[in-house]
Amino acid sequence: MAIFLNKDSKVIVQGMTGATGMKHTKLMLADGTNIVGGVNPRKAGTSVDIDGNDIPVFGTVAEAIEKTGANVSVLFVPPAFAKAAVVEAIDAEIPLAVVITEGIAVHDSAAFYAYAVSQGNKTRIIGPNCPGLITPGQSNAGIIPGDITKPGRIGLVSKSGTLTYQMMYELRDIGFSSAVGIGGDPVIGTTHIDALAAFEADPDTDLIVMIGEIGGDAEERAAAFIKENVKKPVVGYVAGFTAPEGKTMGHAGAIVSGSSGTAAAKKEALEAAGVKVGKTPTETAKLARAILAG
Amino acid sequence: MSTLDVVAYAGEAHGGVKPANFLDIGGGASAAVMANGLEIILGDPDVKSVFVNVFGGITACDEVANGIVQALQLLKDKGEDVTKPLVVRLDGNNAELGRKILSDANHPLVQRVDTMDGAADKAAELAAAK
Repeated sequence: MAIFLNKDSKVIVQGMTGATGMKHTKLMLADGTNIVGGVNPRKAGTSVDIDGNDIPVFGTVAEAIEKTGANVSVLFVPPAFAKAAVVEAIDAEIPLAVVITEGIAVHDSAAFYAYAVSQGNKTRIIGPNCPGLITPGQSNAGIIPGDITKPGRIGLVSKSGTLTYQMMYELRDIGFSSAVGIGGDPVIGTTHIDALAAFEADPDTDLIVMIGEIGGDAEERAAAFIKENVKKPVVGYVAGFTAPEGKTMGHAGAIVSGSSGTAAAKKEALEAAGVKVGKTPTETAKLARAILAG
Repeated sequence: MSTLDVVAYAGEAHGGVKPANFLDIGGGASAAVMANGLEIILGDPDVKSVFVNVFGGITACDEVANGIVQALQLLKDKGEDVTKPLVVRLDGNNAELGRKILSDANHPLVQRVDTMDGAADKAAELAAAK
């Protein structure tokens, strides 16, 4: 069953006709994703041939939904135009919008997230600044390499793209139900908690790996959620134990301010909730392996 | 950032060497970005060894490998005497091609280690030996 994305998902790409959009649409198609269209107001009515697939370009998200029944949009729209594109997807009531774009102003992200909430939360937003999500063997909505691993019974949720790939690689022989990269920006749509709740409810997931990093308190809140609501085993990893205070580390949201947001505090909170926390990605994978082996 | 942690842990086993700095090449980095980054890192007198850790998603490992080879050539052409060893770990997007580029270049300062923990340990060991 997996979470948020499966073989029946009909995917459109906003920003498909740009260089990055084209490159990754090609890769998503190669992974078996059912891409039903692209959106570009200036190229509406045309179509693009990608590896023998004739992909129509629509003028709006609403039109794409009407013509194709699309229920997922992946956005490769440049930062300055991303807010308008997400708002359009929300207005069209697409159930899932995956925002890959890096460098969107935090204020814009806050605005479109608040807008989604104000419109009744009909659109789940993943990202921005994220690698998207993959349900191996079924569908790939974003830029996660499709050939790292196979379908399996581990669920993965991560703030970091590279660590998503690293963890999928470490546990590639076991396989994943779904892997979700939620992004490392200070304001994001789908959180660790949303993904944890979905994996807990997913009959195809036996164990959850959760990857966090310094900054904010998402991991602490996730720990509290796990304690109350998650019965499945959870293994965690937190990046940034050796990060200096007051410096932004790679992701805009990854910063230790004073005593808050440290990796040590996050690890402690997770362990108090019964989560086994690894010191490195490799050690974390070993912990997951040990639990699955019984 | 995880790389920084892994290097710090590896350093504990090699006399307490620590990461001197951290440079995130970002998603989709080209050979030119890699070469510029490496030039900056190699110019830091506190740096004794360099660990290049890439699991390519958007970033293509062949671009990274070409960037490393180009950076070393560029510095040589400028007459700079580069003596700092580089440990490189490549996985993901075009990793095989990237590894081949490094093997073919066969640069005496570049070593390839194919796991993250193993490569961090080698980088720390080389830094401690300096």
